[in-house]
Formats: sequence, C-alpha cells, structure tokens
Amino acid sequence: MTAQAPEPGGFNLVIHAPNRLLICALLDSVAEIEFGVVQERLSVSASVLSKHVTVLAEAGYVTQRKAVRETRPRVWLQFTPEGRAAYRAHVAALQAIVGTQSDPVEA
Amino acid sequence: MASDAPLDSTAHRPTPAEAAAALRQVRDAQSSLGRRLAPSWYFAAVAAMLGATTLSQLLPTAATIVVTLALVAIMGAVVRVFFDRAGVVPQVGKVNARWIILATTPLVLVTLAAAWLDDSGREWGWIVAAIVNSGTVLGVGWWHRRQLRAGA
Repeated sequence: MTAQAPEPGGFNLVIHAPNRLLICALLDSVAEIEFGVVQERLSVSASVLSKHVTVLAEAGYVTQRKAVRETRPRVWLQFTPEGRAAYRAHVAALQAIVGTQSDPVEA
Repeated sequence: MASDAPLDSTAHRPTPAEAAAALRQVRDAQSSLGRRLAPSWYFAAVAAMLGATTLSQLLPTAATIVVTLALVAIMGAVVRVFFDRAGVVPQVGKVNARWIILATTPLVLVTLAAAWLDDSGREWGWIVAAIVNSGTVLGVGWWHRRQLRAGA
C-alpha cells in the first residue's frame, strides 16, 4: 500500500520529512538495523520513531521483524526493495535540486 | 542529530539550500554508523577461531575437516552475535571490497606458505601461520578501536 505517491522526478514527500529521511539513510546503509540504534542515532523518543516507522511501513517502504534477545523484545527494521528504490530516487531528486549529479551519500 | 519534530513538518519541495542541508544530514547519519566501536571480545573470539582453524591442519585429514567445519560454524555464530548486539547487520554489497582484500590477502598468503612448508615436511609452518593469522586479526581490532577512539 502506498500512503502518498512520489512526485515526478523521484521527490517523495513520505520520505522527505527530516526524521524519515534520516531513518531511510540509515536503512540504506545496512541490511537490517535495530529500532533502538535508529532511536539513538536520531535522538528521538520511541513513540516518535514508532510513528515515523509506521508511516514508512504503511507506504510499503519498511518492514519490521520482532525478535527477542536476553528476554528483551527488540524490533529490527529493513527496507523493502520499493523503499530502497524510492529513497534512492528521492536522494537523486535532492541532488538534482542542489544541482549536482554526484552521489555524496554513496561515497 | 534530528529534533523530536512533529510528523511531516517539511511537506514542501525544498530550496537548493534545504536540499543540500538534507543531503549533508543523510551523509552524516550514514557515516555515524561506520563509527561504531566493535567490542574487543569480538576480535579476540575471531582471532581464537582463526588460530584454531589454522592449527586444525595439523590433525589427521578426517578430523581436520570436521574440526574446520565446526570452527567455521562457531565463527559464523560469533559474527551473528556481534551483529545482534551491535543492532546493525551490514549489507554485503556495502562492505568496501578494498578493505576485504587488504584484510584477507595476508591471511591467505600466510596460509599458502604454511601449506607449502607442510608439503616439504615442515608442519611447524601451521603453528607460525596460526600465530600470524590470530595476531593479524588482533592487530586489525586494535587499529580499528584506536582509530575510532582517536576520532571520537
């Protein structure tokens, strides 16, 4: 399901909200990342992060996997292929707005 | 890093300056993941497993195969525990090939040299290889921790 269709050129309002852009940036660097690590990196509360993750999940961009370590429940997040493609298209759109064709986030 | 901002607070097309700032934040967020300090137990465990795997070449062939497979499985479990505790599982394709080649080339060369020595009846080569291989992993671990601490 898609919460909000991306604009032409790859710019994506679902992804562009500051916290969601950073969540996507972290997800694009890894195969899977734990919710607590993302929360620590973004310095946001669990409830705020949870809301952003829900928006991304409802857009079909992120999946969540529940696991348990040492009796503590943990949630792992990962991009769907659609999410990764949408994020990269969005970054390309941002680069086009800035006016560069280089790819600083892939360095 | 990011503020505890309300949802969708930036639902408009950014200006070039805003887009550049967003790209900078993306770059910072991604590079911050690479600055996570790996625990010293991880390098010690990998060094021990690698040393034991190398030494297992001194065993009879059948035992070597069994022990090597068991040690490789244990090493896989150690790496899995490391990822689990770190909360980050890297993408295979994102791991820098240059670093993989730099890290594994000495290990492969030392192991080949030990095999060559073994062929000429000098089995002590495996002991030297085990020490060198384990020492290399510990050295890489020390260097990694030192670099991250210096950059902190």
